[in-house]
Amino acid sequence: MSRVSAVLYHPRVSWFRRFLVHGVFWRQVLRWAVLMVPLWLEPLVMALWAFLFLLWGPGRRGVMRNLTAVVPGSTAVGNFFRTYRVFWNFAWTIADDVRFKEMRIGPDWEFAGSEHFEELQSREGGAIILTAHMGNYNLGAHLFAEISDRRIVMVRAPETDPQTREYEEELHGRTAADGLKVGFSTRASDLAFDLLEAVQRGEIVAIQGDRVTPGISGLPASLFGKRTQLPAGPFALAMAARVPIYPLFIVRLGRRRYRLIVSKPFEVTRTRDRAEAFDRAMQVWTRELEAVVRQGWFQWFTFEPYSEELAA
Amino acid sequence: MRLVRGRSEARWFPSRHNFALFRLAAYFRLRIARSEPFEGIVAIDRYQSNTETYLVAAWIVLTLACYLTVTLFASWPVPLAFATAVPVALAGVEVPMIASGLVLTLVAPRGKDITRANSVSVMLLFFAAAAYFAMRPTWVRFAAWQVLFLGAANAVASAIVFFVRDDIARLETAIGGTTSAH
Repeated sequence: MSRVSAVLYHPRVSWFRRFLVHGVFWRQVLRWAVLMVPLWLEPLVMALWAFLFLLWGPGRRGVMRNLTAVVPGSTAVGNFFRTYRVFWNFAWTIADDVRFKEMRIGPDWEFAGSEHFEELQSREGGAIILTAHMGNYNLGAHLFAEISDRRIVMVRAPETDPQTREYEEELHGRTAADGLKVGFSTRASDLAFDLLEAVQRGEIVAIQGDRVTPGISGLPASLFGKRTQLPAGPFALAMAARVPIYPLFIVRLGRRRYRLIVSKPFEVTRTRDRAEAFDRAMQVWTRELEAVVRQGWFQWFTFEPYSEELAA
Repeated sequence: MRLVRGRSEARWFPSRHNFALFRLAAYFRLRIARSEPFEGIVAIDRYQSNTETYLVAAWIVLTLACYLTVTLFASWPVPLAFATAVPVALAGVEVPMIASGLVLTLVAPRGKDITRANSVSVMLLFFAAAAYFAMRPTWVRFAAWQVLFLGAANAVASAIVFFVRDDIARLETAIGGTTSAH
């Protein structure tokens, strides 16, 4: 535990922790707001909160740095306003998520690549959905559980704050759809066997493949011309279980409107050279990811520089 | 929640609108709507209309900005005062909303959805402000009168929607939809 963490988690100051960026206080405020704000005032509340998010220095700087790579030729001033748009979309998506969980009110959906989606639903055997921190990942998983008979296992990074984690787990336990299970990727090895079993049972595993969190093994990749690491887990799982990977993105189109984009599946074929197989699969994935993020940069919720080259 | 799959005209369901004026407009639009190829799902909820939500939000901010122009910034030139009043109104509208929300949270059962009650409360405050400014001898009374006029028009629309409710139900049922399992 770092010195900062030791101080923050000391019992005498732990009450303060709830007010930090990842603290539980903000989740509680969001829930209260969703259950209280008149719906016709919602755009005004979002406009103000998106502005307040701009005061969060590390997040703002992280988005601005990522935008320099995603939007070539962009200026710092331009990216400042683009960052506001990212936060505006973020505010809407987290509110939509809570509204769905608490009130079961969902958005309108459009489908792109529905032939791949139908194939995913109807295929026998398991599959992997590879997605990104875009639009509304949680709502997408709920939609899938809603319209499909297939069971879906959603993997997500755990909350860093223990109180927030407890709060989210309680909320999920109270509100999750029947066909949806959430697994937290605390360590690469923890979930691996469970996920392999799930895929082999014919379940669908959804993983976010655009960010490596601490403790998760990564593979080298190039994204928007910058070197980075992307999660190795989905590719290793696909290779071990011999199941296809479906790139799937949930893109926010506007207030209470989302588009589900499913791309052509690809496989991670077993060869003697594992590194080469992973590399090929990674190139397919980064191509899909770049295409979607380039069009929807305003809803790629990556608040830290995705590459060390950008962090420098 | 009700969901309609593959029917684009379901976007015009009056039940996807909140205020009677918008419900009535949606009813007329639905009557002439044609079914177009649509790969998607339309959710049926009374606050689902974007046009309505953004128009009402903009209407409230601009009206409040008029009130602020003649009160907080009364000594300023009107264009400058109005331009300043818009962002102030945008932030200021949250004060009565949060105050009312806090009071309702205290009296309502824990975790209950109070959006409807808070909507009524905030709208009543908005009309009370309109009634006050309607009596002022300056230009702001026109801003207040349009609020009262639209309130009256909404009441008339509400009566019309009541009389055509069976036709609305018939149209919506003909297009269909299923109730969400979750």
